[in-house]
Amino acid sequence: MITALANPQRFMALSRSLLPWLAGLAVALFAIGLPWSLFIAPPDYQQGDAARIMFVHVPAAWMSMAVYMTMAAAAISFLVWGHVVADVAVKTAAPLGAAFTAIALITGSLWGQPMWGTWWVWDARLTSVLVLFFLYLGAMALRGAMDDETKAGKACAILVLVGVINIPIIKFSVDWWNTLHQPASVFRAGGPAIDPSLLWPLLVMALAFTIAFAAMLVVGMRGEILRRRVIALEMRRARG
Amino acid sequence: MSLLHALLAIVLRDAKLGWVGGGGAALPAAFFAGASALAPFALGPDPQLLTKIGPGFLWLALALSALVSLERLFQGDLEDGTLDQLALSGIPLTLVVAAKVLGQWLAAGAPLVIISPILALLLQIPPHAIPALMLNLALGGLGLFFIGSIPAALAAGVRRGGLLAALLALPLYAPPVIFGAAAASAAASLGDFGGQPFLLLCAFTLAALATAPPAAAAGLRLHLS
Amino acid sequence: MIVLATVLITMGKYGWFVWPSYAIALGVIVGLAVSVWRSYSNWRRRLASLETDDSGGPT
Repeated sequence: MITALANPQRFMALSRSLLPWLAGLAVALFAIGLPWSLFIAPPDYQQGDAARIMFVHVPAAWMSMAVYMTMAAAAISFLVWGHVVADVAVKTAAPLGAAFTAIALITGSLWGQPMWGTWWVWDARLTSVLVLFFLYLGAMALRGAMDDETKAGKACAILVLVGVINIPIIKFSVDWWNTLHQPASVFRAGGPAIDPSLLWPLLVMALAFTIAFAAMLVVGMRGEILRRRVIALEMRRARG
Repeated sequence: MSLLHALLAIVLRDAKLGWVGGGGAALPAAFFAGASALAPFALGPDPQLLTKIGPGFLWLALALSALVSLERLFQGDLEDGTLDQLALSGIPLTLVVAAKVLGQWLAAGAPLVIISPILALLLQIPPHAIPALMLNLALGGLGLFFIGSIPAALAAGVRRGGLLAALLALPLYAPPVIFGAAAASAAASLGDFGGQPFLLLCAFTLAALATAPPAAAAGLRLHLS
Repeated sequence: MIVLATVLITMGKYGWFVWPSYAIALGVIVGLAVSVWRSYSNWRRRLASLETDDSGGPT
């Protein structure tokens, strides 16, 4: 499947048929997940309704890491096999990942104020997520600094792979250090520690975020592939 | 010329270039001193406050000094073609990078360690902590220079590459600065070598020594052709 | 109307932090989706106009 996607024409054909489904599914999942999170799910017995922020904060945080891992996989694909579509994926995913990280940081801050009494704390998890945000910005900056598309793509890929060490640091930061941020409640040995009435809306919202990202990634990649075609055509025209 | 001789020559060449160009060893040292001196200006002269914050601020100044020197690591040699020559010479580019970074550290990092005792006294850091602090700054500086070589290589030859390299280096600097400053503070208050943070700093520097040269070499190859 | 009323009532109940969080999260996602779509349609339009351009030279 990977080699099938590596061909830009095949990617365009496949994504054209897939896109309406992705977009529709994303909208449907939000339509189910939002009322569920906001109205149907019970308030937390300790934090009350403020805990509903979890239903946007946690999916955003999961996405910020998942998008980075996607970029890392695409980066490897580009560096090792030279798949241009992989480079397109890295370029498109970077601003999306940065946005999810920003959502996670902002909603986390808004949750921290009622929960911990502070807008920010320099514990291990918040610090490493902030570092992740700067890694995304750095990847975008490096991309824009070079005119040669291939060179910029390879430089960006190298940077993404160097920064990948941050992801396990984020994941395990709450275990390794004494942090204010609560420890893992879902992805942990022994299964989720969270009540099903809260777990299900969380999973629906997480799926909504994921499918929305997939849809946006596909649209963005199609746009980037078309952009490269336009530029190639215009250059050929200019040469006469 | 054996490989070791060649690498030693590169180390010494970069060290000399760093020393000779623009004020020699005095310039990075003066920048480090000036940046450290900002601490009492910014925070006030209260000695107890300075003792608490001093080690951390010294580390901040070290990180800034390292960021400022990133641009000169590869840019000059890329522009005048020396880097192309070195790449063609048959010496593995990874080792060339490691030698250049080591040379730059000798020129721009080691002087900082040498003047650090004076700055420690200025920042009210207890004298018994100075040997530990010097070791801390030496190892930490080495780690900063090595990990910084990756963004320096990626941004070499780009317009405003120095600023871009510094921006890219900032997230990579977070672990050594956190561990190094914690170790320095521990050394200042407890009198040991900095305990667990110091070990983590050493681990980071070792990891940087091992992983940065290949990554930076890969980045440099993008610009050489 | 009922939806709006429900929203406004729960807004009061949930305090200052829940609705801004949801608004920001959804706002960013929708904004991203719109911007990514507009960029895509822009390039699609430009490619179409280039491909149907018969002159063969710079326009």
